Amino acid sequence: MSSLFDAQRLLEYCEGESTAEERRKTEARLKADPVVARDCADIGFSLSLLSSLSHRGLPDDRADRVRGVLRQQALASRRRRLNRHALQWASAAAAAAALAAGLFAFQGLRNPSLEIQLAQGPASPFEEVALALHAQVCRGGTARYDLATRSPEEAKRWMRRQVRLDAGLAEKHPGFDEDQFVLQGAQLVEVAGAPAVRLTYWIDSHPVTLLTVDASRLKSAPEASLAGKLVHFRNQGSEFKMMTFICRDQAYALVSGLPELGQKACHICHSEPGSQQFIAAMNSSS
Amino acid sequence: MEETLHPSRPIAVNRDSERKKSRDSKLLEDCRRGDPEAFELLFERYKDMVYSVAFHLCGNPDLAEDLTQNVFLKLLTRIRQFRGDSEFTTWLYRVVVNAFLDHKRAAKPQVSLEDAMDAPNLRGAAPQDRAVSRRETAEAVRAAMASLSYRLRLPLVLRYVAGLSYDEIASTLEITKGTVASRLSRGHAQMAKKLSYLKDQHED
Repeated sequence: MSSLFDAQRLLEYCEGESTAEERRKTEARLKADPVVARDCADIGFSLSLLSSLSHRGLPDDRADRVRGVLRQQALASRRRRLNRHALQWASAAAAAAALAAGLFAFQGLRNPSLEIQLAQGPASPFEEVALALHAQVCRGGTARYDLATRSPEEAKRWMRRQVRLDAGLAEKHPGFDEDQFVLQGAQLVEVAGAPAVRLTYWIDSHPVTLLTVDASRLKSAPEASLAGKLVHFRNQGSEFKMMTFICRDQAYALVSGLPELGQKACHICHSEPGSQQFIAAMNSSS
Repeated sequence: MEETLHPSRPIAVNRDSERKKSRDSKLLEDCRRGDPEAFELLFERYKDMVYSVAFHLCGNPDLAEDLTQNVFLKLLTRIRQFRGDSEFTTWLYRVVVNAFLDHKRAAKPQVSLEDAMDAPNLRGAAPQDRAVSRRETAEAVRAAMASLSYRLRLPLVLRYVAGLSYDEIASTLEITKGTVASRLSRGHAQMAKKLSYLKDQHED
């Protein structure tokens, strides 16, 4: 705006909100000052173009997604409040939420908001497969590996090549003896007709199963939160601990018989010092 | 001349009536008490308003959805902080603006939304040679708006999309009323310059 004419007065005039007296004064000024007249014409032209901007309501599909995330969040908050003093391991769940927050932040994802929830209702078909595969190893059955390897890097390459699935398997686990986290191998399996990969680790002499599949292929994938990582924890018969979640469009189930929440298995992918501290804090708080 | 100088207001001003204030007041009280149904109602009541402003600020439907979600997630935890000292809508717009500015700060510098929105057809060959439909005009206006600095874009969106008064914009952006008017004027001048090629079609 090149003129020194009062900006607000001119705007109000162009928007038709001047009083009669102001309007008269402004019109006199417009006749006398071509610079103000040009500014006024610019505002008028811009206003007429801005009228082409239509009100944009939130489309139904987008509204459904946002509504879903808000409900989860509200439900989780409510559940937390109700269970704070009732559940024996509420503190562990809260710590797990913080752990998930730490892991999520570490992954560099944009929004650090996340939640851990107790899984409700019966296990989904995806979870059933993960539990069955894990039970198979626990019963002493020998897993058939399509790739027998102790190298996470090799397993990752193999997964990408075979079924275009990924997993952020950590190569090293600083601060631990290397024989505490031992990859056994990978196996191609099917979940609801979709190709999936089951990875088997031994952690502290406990078998650990990590199952992953393209989440879009599941009818009942773990709930995802657009706001962040949402981890569901299930304590299956006090024997198996299972965490299910979605990360980068893949559904994961992590099953073990490790102590507490089985959170040590998180080190399969998260070996950074920050994550380790967090997991250690979980141990002390549970 | 008369039409040029006195265009109708672009988008209807959305000022709350006393009745709506009273209705909101009860709803907000219920939300503050943690009533989930009240919060759902709040979402239904304000989702379009929030999304519309977010969309016109960022010019991208996916990002606008993210911003809308972030705004309501923030409301879930911060609704108790709203004491009613200002209009709820003013407070809500401040949350939207802050979510947008947070996004701007977090966005990687090389990813420029403005560049992405700077549609090639705006700079293409002789746009004045072709007829411009209303939809194309709207696209061009959105692109021009997205190419403004956010200091100029924010008051334009709050004024002409959200329908806030100068006082409300000043309060939302925490700037003076004079600065609001100055930024609006500069915004209009830049919009007129960027879209001057549409003048012929528009006057037809």
